[in-house]
Amino acid sequence: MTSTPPAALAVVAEGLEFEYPAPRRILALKGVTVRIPEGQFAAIVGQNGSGKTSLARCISGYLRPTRGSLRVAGTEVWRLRPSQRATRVGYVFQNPDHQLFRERVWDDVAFGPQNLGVSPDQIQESVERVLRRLELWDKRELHPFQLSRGDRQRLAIAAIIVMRPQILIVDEPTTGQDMARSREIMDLLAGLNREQGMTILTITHVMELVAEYARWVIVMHDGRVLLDGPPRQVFSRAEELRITAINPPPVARLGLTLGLDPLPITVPEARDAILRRLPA
Amino acid sequence: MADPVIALERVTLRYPTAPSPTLRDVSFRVEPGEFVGIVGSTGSGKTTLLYLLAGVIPHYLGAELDGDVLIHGRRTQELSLARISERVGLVLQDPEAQLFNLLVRDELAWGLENRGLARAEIASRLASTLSFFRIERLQDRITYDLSGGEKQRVALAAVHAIAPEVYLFDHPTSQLDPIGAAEVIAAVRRLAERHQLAIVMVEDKVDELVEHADRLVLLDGGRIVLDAGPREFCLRKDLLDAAGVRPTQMAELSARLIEAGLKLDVPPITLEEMTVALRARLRS
Ligand SMILES: Nc1ncnc2c1ncn2[C@@H]1O[C@H](COP(=O)(O)OP(=O)(O)OP(=O)(O)O)[C@@H](O)[C@H]1O
Ligand SMILES: Nc1ncnc2c1ncn2[C@@H]1O[C@H](COP(=O)(O)OP(=O)(O)OP(=O)(O)O)[C@@H](O)[C@H]1O
Ligand SMILES: [Mg+2]
Ligand SMILES: [Mg+2]
Repeated sequence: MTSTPPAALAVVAEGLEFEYPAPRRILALKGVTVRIPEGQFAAIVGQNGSGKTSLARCISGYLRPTRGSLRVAGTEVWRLRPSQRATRVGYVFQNPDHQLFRERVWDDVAFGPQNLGVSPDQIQESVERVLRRLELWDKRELHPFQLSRGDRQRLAIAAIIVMRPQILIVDEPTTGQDMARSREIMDLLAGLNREQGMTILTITHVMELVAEYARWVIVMHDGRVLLDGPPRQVFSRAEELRITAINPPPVARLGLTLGLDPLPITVPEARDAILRRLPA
Repeated sequence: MADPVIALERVTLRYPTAPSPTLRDVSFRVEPGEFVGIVGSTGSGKTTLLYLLAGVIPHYLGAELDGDVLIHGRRTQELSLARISERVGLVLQDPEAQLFNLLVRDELAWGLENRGLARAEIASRLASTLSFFRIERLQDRITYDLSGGEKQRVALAAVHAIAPEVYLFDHPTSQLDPIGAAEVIAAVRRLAERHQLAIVMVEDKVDELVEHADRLVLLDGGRIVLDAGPREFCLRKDLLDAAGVRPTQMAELSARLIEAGLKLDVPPITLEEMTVALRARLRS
């Protein structure tokens, strides 16, 4: 048997703890141990308050770990200056309004590259490319608050990916989006993952999207990783997932009840699994 | 038929800056004890519909309006916003837009204090609301440094504390974990039944609405194109596709199985129905 060389790791956390400072002193991460290889498309799921956003903020370098170790793209990312950080890891906020602050859509996207000292010609080019790709080019002159929530969500992503980070973290990117828009956003992330090898970490509560898009699922519970693995394997452990308020998609629950093997996690998979089990 | 608590009669609405109407000839009513789900793609007019029912339009936001919006038979135009909000509780799409107080306990208490409730009454409502939404441990926290889902729970709880007779929810579970979302929607069902409240909930989790709502209303381009019980709603694939909305996963699976030649007399739309329909037929 030939063994493939181990992939380089985008994220390595060992016993990572994070405490929000006094006077609150809330221990949000209580010892997270996880490894995420480069090029992975991973979903982070788990109960409200389980520490997903806190973990994402540590990985992005906004928060400095209180204890334990964390290496992102090979370095202790919180030690870097923001301009050094930006090409390694980008974080798109849970609420886009916390991130957008310029007067024009175009300026919001150009802001990052300007700070990185990119030349004006190159800024012109890359801002245009990103705005076109996210279907915001026609709205480039508008104030961000004149955009719909869905457009603002895509703008927040644009302002980060224009810096071409190796790792992109998106916190609940589909909140408030209808199914078609949610898929558009996930397709966009899948495209960045496929075409540029960008490592994607997405936080979400929508298990149907996890089943369709993620190749790896990290399940958080009470400040720790409860379990991780490919979606099919994670969703087969419905009992354990309950303690962190996760329900597998309905087709997976059906598969578990009927004993379908391998476990279907999407509608077409469920149809095929059932047809195979019907008497001729 | 009971008298409706709220009713829209042939309402057409155009925002002053918009070239065309956002709601078109919309009629719809909700009776006491009824739980109605509203579904539609982005921009279809869901929030606008809730703003009308809450009196936000026309009292706070101006719009050109045709037709009638009635609460207990009285036109909202003729009632003050304060009078309307004594009866109607609106939970906004974005919880942060709704949280005004530094501490969670104050967020829940201030609506009650505004209404001049006695201290003891406030304390007892506060306690029951905290436990209803499972946020006891958050009561002394600062609202702005809660997690997203925790903020949403507090926003829901703040409206619940006021005990309105009409609840209008705009994507109330968008940031809740899956089991938390299911619990909130189930709890809303019980609330409607127990206190004969009228509930209108904009929600894209059709799987949950089908389990708990009496009717589902489909908005497409500002028109109500379907107003039906859960089963009929799920089976109108033509209208759902046109509106860009998906039925339950089980209804989708039923359709795929029927396409593949499986005979299902009554196409299952819930997990329970599907389990029953298939269990006897599958080879082990
Ligand atoms: N700025 C803050 N200050 C103090 N405590 C915080 C802060 N932000 C979050 N917390 C607390 O840390 C814990 C983890 O919160 P976090 O935001 O990481 O959860 P989450 O998994 O992202 O939840 P959600 O699904 O609701 O977004 C929670 O108990 C939360 O109340
Ligand atoms: N204050 C306003 N002035 C002008 N147009 C508006 C205003 N508010 C909403 N609209 C327009 O009315 C239409 C319906 O908006 P509404 O917010 O009701 O949609 P929605 O169904 O709630 O969408 P979403 O699912 O994205 O929240 C949209 O085209 C929107 O741009
Ligand atoms: Mg979060
Ligand atoms: Mg809306």
